[in-house]
Amino acid sequence: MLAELPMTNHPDLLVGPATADDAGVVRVRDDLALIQTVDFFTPIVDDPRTFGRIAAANSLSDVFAMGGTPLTAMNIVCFPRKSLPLEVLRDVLLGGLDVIRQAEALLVGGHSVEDPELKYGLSVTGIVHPDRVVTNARARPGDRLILTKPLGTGVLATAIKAGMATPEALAEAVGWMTTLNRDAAEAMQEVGVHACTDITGFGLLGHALEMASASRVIIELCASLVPLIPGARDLASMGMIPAGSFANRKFCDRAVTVEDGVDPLLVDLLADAQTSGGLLMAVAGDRAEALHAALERRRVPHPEIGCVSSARAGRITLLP
Amino acid sequence: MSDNMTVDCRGLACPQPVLNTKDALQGAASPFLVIVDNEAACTNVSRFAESQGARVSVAQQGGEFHLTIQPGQEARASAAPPIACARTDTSAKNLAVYISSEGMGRGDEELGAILMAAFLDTLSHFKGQISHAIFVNAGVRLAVQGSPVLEQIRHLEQIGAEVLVCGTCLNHFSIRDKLAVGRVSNMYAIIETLSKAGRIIRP
Repeated sequence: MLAELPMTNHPDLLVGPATADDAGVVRVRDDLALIQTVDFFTPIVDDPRTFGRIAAANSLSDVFAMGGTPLTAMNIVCFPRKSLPLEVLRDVLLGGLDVIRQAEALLVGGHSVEDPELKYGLSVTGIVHPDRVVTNARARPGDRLILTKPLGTGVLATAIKAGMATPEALAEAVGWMTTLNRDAAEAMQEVGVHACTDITGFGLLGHALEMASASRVIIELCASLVPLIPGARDLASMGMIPAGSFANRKFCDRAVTVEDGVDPLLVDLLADAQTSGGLLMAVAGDRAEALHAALERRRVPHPEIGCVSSARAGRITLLP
Repeated sequence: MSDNMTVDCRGLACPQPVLNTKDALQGAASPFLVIVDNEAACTNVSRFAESQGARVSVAQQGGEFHLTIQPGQEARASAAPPIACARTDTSAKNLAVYISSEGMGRGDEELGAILMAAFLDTLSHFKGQISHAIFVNAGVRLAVQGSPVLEQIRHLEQIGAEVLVCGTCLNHFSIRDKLAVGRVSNMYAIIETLSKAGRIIRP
């Protein structure tokens, strides 16, 4: 649908809607570019403060995925004033502020509207040097792919709704969703990568496909090397996959080749819509060890899950 | 078919169809029908029923999916509450491995190290059966940078085991920041895990 809108073009527009990237980036000076991003959604956990933290971490993530640092944030709130006490909103906003402070950004305001359904998120402005913007469009054959957070938050959110998530699984999922991608982004900028995207609503398959399409390459993923949150696989096998994740899978079908030996359950997990997921980085073969070391030093997980195999129209090959 | 129960889940958002099927399965002895109106719900309900030991056959009728669920032995016997449902295994993933020393056995340290490596190697043959690997006291040394058995423990994670490493012990040896596999755990979680395990084995 976005394709129907007239194309945005400008010599200083470094990243616009055309490449379906994580944020918009515009150069304002030779040595300064601004990153703009926005995201908000409905609660996925019961505790308001935790929800606020998750939503904020999720919104800030796009800035890190572009290689930048967040500068300012504004709250976006939809609140059912008549059916929820104001304390709930206070706690959500406090949670958001917890994470904004952790990201060393400034909360400068916000906007709220009355709505039958609670929604929260942030509009974020970040900064980056124009020459250091990391897009999803420059992955090259030979690159190795590293993913910094395990998958499964979509399945876990559904299981939470169904009352089938264990307290440990819930705690682990919340831990990952409230972790900023800042340390991962720092390591990425220290070493240098060809491409990066954060894993959110379209799942690993969807976002990897965006990278493959924008970069015009074929990406190979090894399903068994993709990290999963403990418990996610069991819950998926018990039917806890959200409808949105099925939709992701269907959408990717025509551009993903699934080799023999890949468990269909794993394919669904790789298409599982994530909230506040990790960074998927494409790093040159000769810089891969340095990136592993830089991530290790910052205690960021760094499993290698695949590679960029060849330069051709964007596709994914999924191996066992 | 007209005698059997029908669970109509048309128009319901996920995970309601699975929840309704779960209720219907509890204590069910004869086959029943579940109707859903989208493929996602069909897949989810099928997977859930199969995970509870039931047999499922699906007939597509226009935009609807009619699933005939035949309860298995496990489904009839199980009246477990939801949280136990997610944890109690109808499969064989019920082995917890408890490792409380750096070597296996007593008498010779060098032999103990060799045996521990062999023990962890051999565990990899029990794919899908090991739920947890727990490390306490000097055992936590096996899970930090520089350990000769890191690959074996990582492999255990890959075949489905959760690796828990005692935080108090890591702190005692001042190696908490060197943890290289699994996650930091505590006495409560360790006891809870051991109490829920089907069987506990130790080297």
